[in-house]
Amino acid sequence: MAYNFKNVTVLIVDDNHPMLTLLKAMLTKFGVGTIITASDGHVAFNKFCKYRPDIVISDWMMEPKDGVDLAKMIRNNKGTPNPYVPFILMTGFSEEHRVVKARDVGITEFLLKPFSATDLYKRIATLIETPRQFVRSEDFFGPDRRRRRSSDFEGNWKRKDDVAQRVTKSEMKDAKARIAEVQKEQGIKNSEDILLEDIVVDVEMVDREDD
Amino acid sequence: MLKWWIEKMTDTREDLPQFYPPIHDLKQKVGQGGLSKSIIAKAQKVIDLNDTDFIDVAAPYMTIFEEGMALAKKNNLKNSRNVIENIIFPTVQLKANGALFHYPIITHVATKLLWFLERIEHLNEHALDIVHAFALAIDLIFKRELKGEITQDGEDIMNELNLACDRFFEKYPNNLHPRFKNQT
Repeated sequence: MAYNFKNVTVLIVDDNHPMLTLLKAMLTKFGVGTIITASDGHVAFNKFCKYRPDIVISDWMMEPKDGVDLAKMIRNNKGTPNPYVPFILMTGFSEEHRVVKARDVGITEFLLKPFSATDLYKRIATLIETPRQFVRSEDFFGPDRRRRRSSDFEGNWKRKDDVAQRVTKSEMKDAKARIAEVQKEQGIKNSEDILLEDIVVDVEMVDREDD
Repeated sequence: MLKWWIEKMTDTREDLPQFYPPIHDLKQKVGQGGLSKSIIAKAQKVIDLNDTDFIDVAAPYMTIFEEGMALAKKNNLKNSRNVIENIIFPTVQLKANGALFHYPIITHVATKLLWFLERIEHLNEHALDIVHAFALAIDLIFKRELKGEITQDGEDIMNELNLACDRFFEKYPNNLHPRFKNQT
């Protein structure tokens, strides 16, 4: 058994025509059934709406609309047919501030240029095998940017959300009910602080850098 | 910490982040088992055997590059961060495409230039000289058609450019973009 890309449609976007030709030929070798091409973000978005591809692979730097603009449109425009589409951004940039900028508009995977066939295949395989959950917050919609809890992670947990990242709405409801119960039992008013000794919580606490 | 945690746990506001489970459509479409090594090797051959002349591909980027340098001189190095961004665009294109079109040395040289341009805070005459040296090196590589494996000539060019960048930051340690100032 092997992957069969016959029924997969991929939209590739690059203003560099030889690059577009190269990428198209590589995807054809992978067996991709339908490959749509575009040379800037604006044209690409129109084609995205028309053909509803399964994967978008776009270069970053293009005029007038670049790959980051395209990702923003796909994730956030009202007319977008599939805001969850996996989006691979091809770029020569590897500096952290550039990568963070692209990540924050909802890029799924990065493909650093120049790349090999194996690099391209690995990114596509990641989209297939480990699709990411999506997050909608006040200022972001896209694949979850937060790292997963990992027992071998030795760095600092920096974000507040790192502590409660696995907590669901229903778990929060339960916690609220539990706190109300404790308040009732202990005769604590809403305005009063609750001491740690008053409640039993079964949650894994982690150190935060700003603590 | 505890107070924050309790607030977080009991907060049911509608504006909290909403999570959507992963979609497995692609997996359902393509099945399992991956691609064989031979298919990936065939795709790699597309890169290895492509006969596009990279000098033609690079020509418009070299023009933008030269225009960026001319603009820097014309402006007497004012608004230099904007000028740097203009030079970064063709540089990243050369870096990205060089090795894909048989010029790995262009990728190496452009990678170093990009490293330099990302780090300097503003252009001065010395910085512009260095950028000019990179431009001359790229020009030389194209003229000599230094394709394929990096030769001793290519290594020599790279070493000279690396040393020039090192000397610059030794001479102007404060001409470093703020985002890099806390890095060693």
